[in-house]
Amino acid sequence: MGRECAPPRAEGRAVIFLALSLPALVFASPPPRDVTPAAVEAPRASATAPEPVATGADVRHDSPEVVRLGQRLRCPVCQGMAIGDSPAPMAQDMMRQVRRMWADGRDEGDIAAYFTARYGDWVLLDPPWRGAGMWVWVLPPVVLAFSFVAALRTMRRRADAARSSQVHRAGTAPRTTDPPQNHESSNDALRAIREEAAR
Amino acid sequence: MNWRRAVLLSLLLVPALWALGAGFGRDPHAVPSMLEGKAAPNFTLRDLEGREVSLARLRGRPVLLNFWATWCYPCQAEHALLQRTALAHHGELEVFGVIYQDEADPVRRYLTEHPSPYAHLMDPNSQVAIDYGVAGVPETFFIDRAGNVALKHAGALHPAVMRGALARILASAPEGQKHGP
Repeated sequence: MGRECAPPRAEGRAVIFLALSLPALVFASPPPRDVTPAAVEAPRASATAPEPVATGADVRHDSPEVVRLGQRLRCPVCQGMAIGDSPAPMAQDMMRQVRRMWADGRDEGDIAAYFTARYGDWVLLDPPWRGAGMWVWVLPPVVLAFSFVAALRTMRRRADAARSSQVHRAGTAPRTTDPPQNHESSNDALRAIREEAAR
Repeated sequence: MNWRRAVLLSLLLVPALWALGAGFGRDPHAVPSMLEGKAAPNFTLRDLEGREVSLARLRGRPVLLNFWATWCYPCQAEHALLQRTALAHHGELEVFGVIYQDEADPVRRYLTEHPSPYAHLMDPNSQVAIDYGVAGVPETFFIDRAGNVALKHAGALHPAVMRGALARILASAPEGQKHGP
């Protein structure tokens, strides 16, 4: 019986797992650049005032552009939230600043540029197409495409391996009897041994 | 494992490990310091007695601007260092505290218990804090004689940090002149 060629299952799974887990790294927050080293000891206090307050965006009265900016700008305190959603007083002050600048006739680009000039590109929840932010847009589709190709190739390789082992099994029937010449030579050997034993 | 797979895995692993290593070395909550080397945004604020302070009028003098709040423990921890600094450099350094997300009454009560030799300015609607890109307190800006932000320090100040920053701004030259030694 011929030996079956085992497909590289463990390696294929490892490749697929690694390739599919890479987008999780890509979606992690990119590190800010040009950061002043933080002080060594006591942690900084957050900027939240003691009493809770309402969020900054008011969709009933704000223009769509102001609401949009409120969703584009990151709250420096609750850093996973937009200033339009964050309850932090600083976020509300930033929304007030957005409204003031909009009322003064500044456009979305000007207002976004005002905040990025002070907080860096980090303050935009949608990273711009430059510098480190570009990788956030480029890497996920590239990694997904790579993962898809790797998964396809692994599945194809396994299918080919399974097919070739089936062909091998169909082409070579297991031998249940010895060929005649081998059987005769073994009988001769047995006879010779018996004759020797009888002397 | 053949060499092609080894190269492929290396191409995947090396950039991923590099990105992780680069990220682990940084504080993910630290906000970029965008104003260093640039002109300090001008402001006109009032202190607790109602007196007006304008940064533009201080051009030619080194300025230390400290954003703080009474509810901030690291701010309280660095307060003594700021007091000593203001006293030690009286006449050659302008020190101001900017009240961040706080009310005048708690600030007055705090300063009654912890007297301060320098003025504290109220910042309505955090306008100046936003202008300076402040994300939390304490944050301290060291402004040189030319009116540029020489250094922004986030977190409570250390004596070593204070010494280094002061050396820079005290030795700086006013705008239009060469820097001192």
